[in-house]
Amino acid sequence: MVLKLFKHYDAKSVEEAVSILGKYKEKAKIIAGGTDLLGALKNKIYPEYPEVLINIKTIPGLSYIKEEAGSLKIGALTSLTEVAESSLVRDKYSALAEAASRVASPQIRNMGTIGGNICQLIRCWYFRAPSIAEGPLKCLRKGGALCYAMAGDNRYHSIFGALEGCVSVNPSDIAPALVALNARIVTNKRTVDAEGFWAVKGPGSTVLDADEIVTEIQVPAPPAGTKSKFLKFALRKSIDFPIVNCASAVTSGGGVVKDARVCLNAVYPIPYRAKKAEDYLKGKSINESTAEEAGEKAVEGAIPLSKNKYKIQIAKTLVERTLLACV
Amino acid sequence: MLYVTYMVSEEKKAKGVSRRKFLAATGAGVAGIVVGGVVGSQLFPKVETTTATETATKTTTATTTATTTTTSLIAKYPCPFCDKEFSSEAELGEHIKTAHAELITKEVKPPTIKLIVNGSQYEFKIGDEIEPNETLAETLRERLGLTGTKIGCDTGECGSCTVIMDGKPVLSCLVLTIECDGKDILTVEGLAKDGRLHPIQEAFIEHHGLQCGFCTPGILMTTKALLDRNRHPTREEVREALSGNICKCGAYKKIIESVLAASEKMR
Amino acid sequence: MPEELKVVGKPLPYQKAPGFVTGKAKFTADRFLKLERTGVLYGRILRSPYPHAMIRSIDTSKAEALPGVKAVITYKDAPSKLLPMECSRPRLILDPHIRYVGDLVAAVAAETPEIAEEALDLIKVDYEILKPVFDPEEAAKPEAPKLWPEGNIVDPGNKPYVIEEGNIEEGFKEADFIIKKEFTTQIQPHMCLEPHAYIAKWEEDKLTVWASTQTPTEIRIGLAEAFSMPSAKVRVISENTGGGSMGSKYLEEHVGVAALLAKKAGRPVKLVLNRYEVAVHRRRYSSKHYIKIGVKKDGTLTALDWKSFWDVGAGGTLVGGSLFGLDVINQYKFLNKHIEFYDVSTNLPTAQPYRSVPYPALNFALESMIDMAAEVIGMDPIEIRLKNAPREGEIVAGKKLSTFPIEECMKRACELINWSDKWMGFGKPYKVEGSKRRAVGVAYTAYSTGHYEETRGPIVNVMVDQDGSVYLITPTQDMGTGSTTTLAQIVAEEFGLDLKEVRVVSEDTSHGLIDLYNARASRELCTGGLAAIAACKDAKRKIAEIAAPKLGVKPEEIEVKEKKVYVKEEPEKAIPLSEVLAGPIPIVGTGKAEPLPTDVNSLDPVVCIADIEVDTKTGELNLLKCAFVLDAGRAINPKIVENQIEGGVLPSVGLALREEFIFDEANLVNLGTNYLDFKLITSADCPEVEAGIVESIDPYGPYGAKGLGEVGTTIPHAAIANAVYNAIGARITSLPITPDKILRALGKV
Repeated sequence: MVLKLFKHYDAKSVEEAVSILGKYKEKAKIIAGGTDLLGALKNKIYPEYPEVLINIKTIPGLSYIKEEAGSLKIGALTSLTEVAESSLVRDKYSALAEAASRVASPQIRNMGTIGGNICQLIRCWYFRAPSIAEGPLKCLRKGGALCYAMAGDNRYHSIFGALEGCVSVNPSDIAPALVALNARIVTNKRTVDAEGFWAVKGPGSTVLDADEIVTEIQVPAPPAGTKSKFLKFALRKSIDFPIVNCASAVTSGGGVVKDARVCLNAVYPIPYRAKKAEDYLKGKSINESTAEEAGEKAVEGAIPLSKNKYKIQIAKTLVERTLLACV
Repeated sequence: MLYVTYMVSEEKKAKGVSRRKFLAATGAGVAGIVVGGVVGSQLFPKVETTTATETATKTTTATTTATTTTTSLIAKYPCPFCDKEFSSEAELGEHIKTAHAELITKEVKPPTIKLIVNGSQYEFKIGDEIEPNETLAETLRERLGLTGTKIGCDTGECGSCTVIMDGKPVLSCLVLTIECDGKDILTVEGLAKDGRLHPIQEAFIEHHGLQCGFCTPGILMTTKALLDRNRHPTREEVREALSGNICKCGAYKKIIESVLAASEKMR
Repeated sequence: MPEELKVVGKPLPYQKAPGFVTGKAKFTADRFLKLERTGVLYGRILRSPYPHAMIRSIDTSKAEALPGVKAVITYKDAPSKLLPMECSRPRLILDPHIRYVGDLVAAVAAETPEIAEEALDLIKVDYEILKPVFDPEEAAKPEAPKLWPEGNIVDPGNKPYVIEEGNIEEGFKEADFIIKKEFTTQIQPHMCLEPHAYIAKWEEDKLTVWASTQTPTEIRIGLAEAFSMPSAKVRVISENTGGGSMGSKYLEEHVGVAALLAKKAGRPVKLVLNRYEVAVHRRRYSSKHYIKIGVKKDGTLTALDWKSFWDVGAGGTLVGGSLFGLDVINQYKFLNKHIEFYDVSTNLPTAQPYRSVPYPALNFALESMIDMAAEVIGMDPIEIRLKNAPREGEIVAGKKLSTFPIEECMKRACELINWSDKWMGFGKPYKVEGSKRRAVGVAYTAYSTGHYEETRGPIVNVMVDQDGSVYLITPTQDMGTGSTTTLAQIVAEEFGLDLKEVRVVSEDTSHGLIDLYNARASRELCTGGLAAIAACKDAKRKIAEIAAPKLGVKPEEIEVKEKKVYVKEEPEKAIPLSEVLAGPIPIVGTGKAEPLPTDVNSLDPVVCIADIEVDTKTGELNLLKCAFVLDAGRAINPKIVENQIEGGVLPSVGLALREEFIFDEANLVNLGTNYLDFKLITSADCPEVEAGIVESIDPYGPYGAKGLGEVGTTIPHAAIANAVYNAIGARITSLPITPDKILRALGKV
């Protein structure tokens, strides 16, 4: 697997990066940690191999963790290790620290950034098939006509049906934690609620325009009485992407739930907010029975594919367990 | 690859040949790096592709249509300052010197990147020697002869290429060398000092922490980074720290014992 | 052995370790680097997108015209002689008949890997698409698409491998209970960590190949045959081989491709496979078993009826049940047997031996059945095994069994895992906490100890220098099994030396020694050790002949030890070795192992008990602890034995839990072609392995040792499957045991 040649810029500012992106559009990619991008380039899975890589690690001032004006603010270039080990994040935004600590492997957490993690491409072994014997597979995310997973091996794919015809999954561990914690994603153009950040956009997994990059992630300080939890179910305890993961944030008062945010990921092409579970919990106290019921509600409407029905049971269980941990 | 660096004359700067305009003018064949008035150009052959598309049918029970595209590559060298194209680097160089002499004040040395590896400094010219698409693993192995760092999967899933960069273990197969300017890198060859093995290396020998030896360099580097950060890790902490390094021979039990023994030695 | 051993039996450090921990040890891809400016070219391979096809035509003109490309080869350039591979079907280096997705179509050698890859896209291939077959049962039928002219069934005569003993119908009539079940096992690719790498260089009519391989002799002789050259003109250098996936690095088509490219280009060629290529290159068979046993209330096994189909892929040979399958059948005393094993070619990647070959699949089926039999008659699972396992001195497969301490192995395993506290009965976990259930399960096997094909080598040389230091020159490769150290320990013991005074040399076939069977079948220590001892004795005999006149006795009365030469009865009358040997001319002894007497059977009893936890709400299966006990005969180096056990257990755990290569028949795509997708065990998943070593001192092994490199992989997954049954009361009969299958068995899906 060989990295084909490309031009390389060290951007010195967000403006510079954005201006080069604007010029080259789909022919340019930004490189932060490189842990998703370089593997994808070696396997040649993009419909068009980029001509230009723009290094944004050389942009100063994008790596920080601080609390300001009632919000946790994390620079997009902050490494996952730093997010996982930050006592500020661990104490007050525990689901996020837990999620960061479960990403991939220690080396990848040192190299990978939180901005990069939420922008990573979908996981589907057809989409990511290397261009060697039978690849590249031009699935419908790449402008082709076919979704290979529908008739093929979909054991790791979406359990809530297709989004724009695609049944892949978003594999980010950080994403559901951000949705559960009601985070906001700040780019050079706008600020977006975490929930609205992911989308099916060609091969891309976010709403970002071609000349838009994430600069900061903001998490509002949770109201008093809030606990959050993140759980990841994977076949291996390290390196693996999730089969299902789940983050829940529950604000309780007087022994009952005042507000709950429950987000599953790796179950749909974008993070899946379990609103039915959230609505069910309002005003109830969390115990084994209500948590189990919430799990059932969370997977209501699931549309399993031929090989992935088991994921529904796992999703249910993770919702239940994250909620019980928020008591 | 031709690497040509020119100083944009002060006059032209004054006339508004700004960096952005320059970039806009140069088209697909050129990348520009502006460092205080110096315009550096990496000139790549422009690749024209002529495509012929054929459709082949892959049939078993389902019919899938596969399109095979054959590409022909034609190398052309476009001038960054005007519209002309040339078929060789030499011709292009000549053209620039004659047709655009007014833009050039002097030729300067191309940017280099400096790596500090195991305490020694190395300098490589970008474009002449190292291209942007070279990974750190390749540079360490092929250019510096430090073959201790191994390439197992080349996509960050096995940890065999682990080196320590600025104190942290990273996967060198996913690091571009040109992004390592000024970085302090430690590889397995840098552990022993003056012929004396590092306590970690001694511990792995004494406690049989290896079998075929292929994963060993990556594991030693992860171990070094761990023990530098946490001199007395628990068994669980060791297991967790090593969880990004695959050992296909399955020597994990003795690897963990070796790491714990090394931490004892390093008290 | 009455005398105390000084070197054998000691946990001495692995001799090769310093090279690995300093990074100085070279693997094949570490040679011919850019900075060395050797003019080496980089090879890349074009692979087929179709599972079954014929190349109608192939146009490489555009690829050849690309600047930087120095050679392009297709089947038209390949020699017409087959590469005589032993563990897969002999084949042409490049064949117009394509047999799996990923099969080799053409190859390019170019100045850079980038140019080579670009050139691949310029090769135009016209395929005639043929009907493929993926299921071994289907492929065994006469009307199935034919992969090979001889037919798809690999066993001789295109017929299954059949064993009939006694009368199977009578056997079932005698039984009180009959149990019948189907089992399947998945494709487990080797996925060795070091990608296959070859460098080929021609100098006039001589070929040198740097290869990462277990079988340097096979490569040397195989290339010589394919290229119609004398084998003396082929030299194979194999310094270190990495990967721990015993069975993936033999003579194979890629080394032929490298040699062919180098010949056409007139320059050395370096070919290193990428991860996808390693995944589709070789793998373990997949298998389907229809097994029926008859058992009496007292635990007697009256009948065994076993029909199985083994998918050995496009080019596999007898790597399914037919290889060593008999030993598993004989690990219990079935009164009547009918065995029918089909090894069948399919349009999938080629299967090749992988650590303990058929044992994993055979034991998964058999050990599950034995547990079922025990349950139905109300007998303890350990008791039924002890009742039916053979013992030392009994006749097994027509031969008298050598040492076989099965009771001690069982006892030790039970102690290591605390069986008596954890065994609650079949289907009964020993701990239930919320949705989590813990249980134990046991499995046993009798493993062939590595006395194998002694007549085919290795032939080894022992060279004694005047200063008394000794070199063992062996053609057998140490791929991490530690054999260079254990063999050195044997030689050191023979000569009464410290380990560091013995060096093992094995990297280069220039030494002229051959081992036609190579490093396979766990025989490096056993057969290799016996050969080393024979060579030591030969060297000593030659020294004795020189010393005899000086000491005034017959050569037979002389012993050579601790760098001294002395008369056996009078050790105090010794002459230094340096005085006996005239000048710096070494004495060379040669040796080869004697085969086991034809009436002797030598087997390793092996027991594994797994302690697991199942989360019934997610299907998660955690392996808490695994006790693994074997009879090493004598542990030449206990630490190395432990490493072989601890390391051998992992592929078995992988087989049980998750490692899987999948071929998607709907889309004709190979899946599970990287470590992430095929789910290789990481250190965070690795179970606690408690290794137990019993030493029965087998009279037929070197210093009583038995070969055991592959043993770890034979049974842990079977023990895990039995433990899962005990945890959840439902039996999973198909590997891997994924959360999906557990949840289904629990009725949650």
